[in-house]
Amino acid sequence: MSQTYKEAHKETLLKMQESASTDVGSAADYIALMKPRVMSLVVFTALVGLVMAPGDMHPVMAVAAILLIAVGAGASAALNMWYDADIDAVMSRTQNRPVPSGRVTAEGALTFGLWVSGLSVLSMAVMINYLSAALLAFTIFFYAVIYTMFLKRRTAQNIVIGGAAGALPPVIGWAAAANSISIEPLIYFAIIFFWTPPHFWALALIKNDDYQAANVPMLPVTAGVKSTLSQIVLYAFVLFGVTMLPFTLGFSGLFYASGAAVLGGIFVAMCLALALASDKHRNRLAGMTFAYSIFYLFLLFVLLPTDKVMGL
Amino acid sequence: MSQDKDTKPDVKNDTVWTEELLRERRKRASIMAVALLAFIALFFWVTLVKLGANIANRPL
Repeated sequence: MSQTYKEAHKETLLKMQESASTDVGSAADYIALMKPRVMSLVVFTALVGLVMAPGDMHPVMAVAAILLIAVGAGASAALNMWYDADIDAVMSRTQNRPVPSGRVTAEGALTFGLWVSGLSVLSMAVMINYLSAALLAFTIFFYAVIYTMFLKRRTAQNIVIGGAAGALPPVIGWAAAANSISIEPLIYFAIIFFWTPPHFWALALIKNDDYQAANVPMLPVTAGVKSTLSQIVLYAFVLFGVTMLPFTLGFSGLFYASGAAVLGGIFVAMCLALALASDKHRNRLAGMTFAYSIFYLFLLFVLLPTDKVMGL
Repeated sequence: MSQDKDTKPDVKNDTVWTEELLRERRKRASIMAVALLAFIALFFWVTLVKLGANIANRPL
């Protein structure tokens, strides 16, 4: 990050603070701060982790655990929006977010994020158990500090390492129910971890100009489109192998394995088609790969508990 | 003077608090109150679940 960029960062923040000296954000703006769409995937994967864990959890405790994971994820998203307001203001996809648009002040987003983070972690410790509370605290810290403040603006591996934060919710869900961690939630973690790079790089290919303008070193910006496409294909193959681990290690059956093989095969084929596409069709295929990747992860996490219920 | 106060918009920290903004702020406060009440209810409910049968079996 050059000195000039640091100065530009400060200048943008100052301008935003001047234009929004009082918080006029509506309830909808504060909900938007919590990135509800990302939160829905977090809630879903955490729920699967909780359902797959051994032992019975009282439904009220399960609802409380999922709610607190969702709130914690939302709080870390608010902290991310506070810190990233300057680059969000430059990018077309994010410039209408509450902070860059001036509806919520940067201080408002920071205060909200810190209070809600603390509330969710402490409540998790009191209501559920210390292990899940510690994992939730680590997830918030990893996303807001390690990813947002350190990795995002410094390295092209930002979303590879930062993906760990998004991969932790099923582990927290499992820990909430079992008060321990075993190999199964770590495999769920690995599935999301290896899914994240091809998912975000497909989006980064479409939004390459935005990331360039915001000086965010996403892989297409630093290594070029060709190298990014090779990495997408590589990760798609690794992800295919990782999604087979629940079957290989014996804790999921044939139903899961066949479903994951079909879904993974389609994803690999789409990534290969994207890598081989001409410049003219690349953005359209990248958009399709990005959309399918969400559907793919969702169905993988539907297959896991369904397979458990079917017992095949 | 009092007439001025009635007609002039409420200005604090350079922000003009129009009727619409004030309505939004009231709505935000109400939603926050509901969320806090729901949180208290959740805490109470979880406490009952954790204590379980011990509520009835406590020594007098």
